[in-house]
Amino acid sequence: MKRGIQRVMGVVPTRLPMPSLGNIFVSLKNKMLEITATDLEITVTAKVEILDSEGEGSVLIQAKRFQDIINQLPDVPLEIEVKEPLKVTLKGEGVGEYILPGGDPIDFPELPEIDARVSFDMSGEILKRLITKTMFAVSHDEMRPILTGVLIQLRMNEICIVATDGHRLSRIKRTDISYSGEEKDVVVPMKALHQLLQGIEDDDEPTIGIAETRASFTTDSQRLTTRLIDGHYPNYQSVIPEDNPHTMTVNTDDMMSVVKRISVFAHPISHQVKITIKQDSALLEAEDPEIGGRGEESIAVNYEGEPLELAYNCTYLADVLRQIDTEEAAFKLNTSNDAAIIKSTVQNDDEDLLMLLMPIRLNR
Amino acid sequence: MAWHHDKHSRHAPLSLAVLENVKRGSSLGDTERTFLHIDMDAFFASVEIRDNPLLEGKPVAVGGSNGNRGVITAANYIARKYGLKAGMTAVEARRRCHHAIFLPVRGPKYTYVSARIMAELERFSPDVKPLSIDEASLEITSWLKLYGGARQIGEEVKRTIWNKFRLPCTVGIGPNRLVAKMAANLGKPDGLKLIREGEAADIFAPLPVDKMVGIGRATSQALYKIGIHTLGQLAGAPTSLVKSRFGILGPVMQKLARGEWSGRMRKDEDREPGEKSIGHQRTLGQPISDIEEMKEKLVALAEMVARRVRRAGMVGKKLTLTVRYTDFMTISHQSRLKCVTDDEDIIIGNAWRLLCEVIEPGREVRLLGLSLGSLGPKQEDDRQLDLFFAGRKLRNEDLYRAMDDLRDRFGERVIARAMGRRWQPNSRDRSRGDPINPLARGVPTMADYHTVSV
Repeated sequence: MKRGIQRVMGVVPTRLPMPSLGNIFVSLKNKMLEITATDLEITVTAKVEILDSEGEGSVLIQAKRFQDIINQLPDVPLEIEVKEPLKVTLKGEGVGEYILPGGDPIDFPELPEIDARVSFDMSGEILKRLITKTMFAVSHDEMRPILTGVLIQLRMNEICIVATDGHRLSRIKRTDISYSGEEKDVVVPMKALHQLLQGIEDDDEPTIGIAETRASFTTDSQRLTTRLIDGHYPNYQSVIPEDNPHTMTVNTDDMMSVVKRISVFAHPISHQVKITIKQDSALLEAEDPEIGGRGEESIAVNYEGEPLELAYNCTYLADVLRQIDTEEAAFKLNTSNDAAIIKSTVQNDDEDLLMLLMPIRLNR
Repeated sequence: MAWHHDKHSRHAPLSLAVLENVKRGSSLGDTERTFLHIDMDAFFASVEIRDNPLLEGKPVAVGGSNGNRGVITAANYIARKYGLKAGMTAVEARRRCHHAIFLPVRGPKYTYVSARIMAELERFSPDVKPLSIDEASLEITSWLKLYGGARQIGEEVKRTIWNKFRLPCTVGIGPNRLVAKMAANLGKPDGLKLIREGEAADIFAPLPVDKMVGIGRATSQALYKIGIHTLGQLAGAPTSLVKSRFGILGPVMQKLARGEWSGRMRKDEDREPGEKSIGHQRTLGQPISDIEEMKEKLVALAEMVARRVRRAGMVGKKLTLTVRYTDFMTISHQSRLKCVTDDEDIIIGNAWRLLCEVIEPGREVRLLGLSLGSLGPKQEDDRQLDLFFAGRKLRNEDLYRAMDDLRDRFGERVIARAMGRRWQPNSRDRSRGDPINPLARGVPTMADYHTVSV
């Protein structure tokens, strides 16, 4: 029950456009208990195992209070009883009796049925990996709503997930997917993916269904449906540079440590870290002229090309490095005003992760 | 204090930038600079009285003529004796002085007169900075010899304005724009006041702190709390004390109190040095319930707010929309923007979203306000390059700079958004008619409104 509530609580909106959304919808049908929460964009239904049941029906329960009491209860079998007129009683061995006011289920918005035109299964582990590797780059800028979601492109045996906020971009492709439907591009809101990460286990085998305006992700224990973001995703392929001439290879962990240290001294607004790259070393520098602090540190790199001076937002740089699983990371660079391509030095045969990072223009 | 013009100085907060100007100004101190500030007395009211001599000698207020609605925008000095002043509600003004004559506001007329006065002032200096419709600041340094002295120029300005326009004004003259403005404030009405280099601190010393340009009610309350009531006390207070209470603005205020400020002067209405937000609100002459009409007002407010934010060299993050219905129920709705901004397109877009979220369709609105808060000095954070919109941000910035410049030189009305074509949300942004989702309105995108290009 706790797990089930956790799964759905994430979507209960904090500001309620409709009062009934502060409730969860609890329904008992065919000896199955389901709890549902929605913010109208995203709906999550969790299935809860029950030992025994009597009768059928549904009720609304105040989400917050229900979660609070369930969380405080020890792991004992619990008896939930709904009495007319809509009083929910919780009883358990040695835990007393709690009564929650219930709501009329008619007040809860009708749950969207989705008529999936495209449907396929994939491993929960892979789905979670794809989401994790991209969602850091999702935009939070409501002025560009399309970028506040993640683009999912489905092709024959292939899935490609892209996220960008214009400053960085992450694209991950898998070619070991059992997908044979039509080519399909959809943009899924960030919040839905966030929920998925929490609700899906590695050994789940979620079924993904995509309809015109909605998508659903269904496992044995939960079902999430989300509205898709409407609009045209920008042509991200055109901004991936093809011929960045210089390559810098660096130990991922070392670079990460240096970036983290340097970022302590980065300007709190620009987060700028300046990198001067030479044949065998790169110098990272940051300073905050307002407090008068500065830091610099040198790191060994393998670099072919002209010495280069450029600057990145160190938070973005750390985000990118965090996604690299291999010992070394490869930066393909052009000039100090062009996007860098960052990749693992070794890629899995079935997977292609590519990240872009736009620099900060240097003052000259 | 050492001020160095290294490459980082652009990161310095606004107030430092202001101080830098002080330094720059005083380094030119060999040729003592002189500034003249002209402030029209009860401008709107004076214009009305000039055009209708029957009003002479009577208390006159402009605004509030439309029943008990709105505020008065000007009151002549007779009306001021009853406590009337600009910004007071019509109800309050009537209560205080029921026999005052309340006249309709004739905006275009005042703008026209103002523009002619400004043009006339250019005879006295090529450097005329209009600060508002009835105030301007002139540098007269190089014209002193020609007229034989500062007082002579001041007298000539007053004489010219009277002869050409039959309007009273007050002229203040000082070694910097701040002191000149203070001199004008002290010389009102119909006066001419001269404060010479070095005199300012002594003249300011006995004044209460709220007489200083830039120190508003909130700041003066805070000053009283630490025992500072006069400008002299402020100037003499230990820097550490005011700094601990007001941060970086403390020393700036002390400089003001000593009359040492030749930084850029802002409009009167922007006068809080510690202001954390910049906003405008408009009481609508005629209440409106049509959301399209509100949108127009909102765009105008957003433009004004953005312009002032840019002028202050600030960027803000917290946008607050205020809606007052005709029954005086007032709603404020806030949103933290995703990143700091001084871009009116972003402000318009978010203001519109806020309006859509709170407005009750069909109810009549009598006031709309918009303010941008959590202000901080503008940093060079927009050097972050963008994958898709590399050129766009820059273009907007150039456009705003050009528009601001035009307005500085030729007045606020010289350029405007193309009102007719302005900002029709496209169908995608309207509610999709989803019965369970009354709030399913999208956020307007860049394509939804148009700016005129220059």
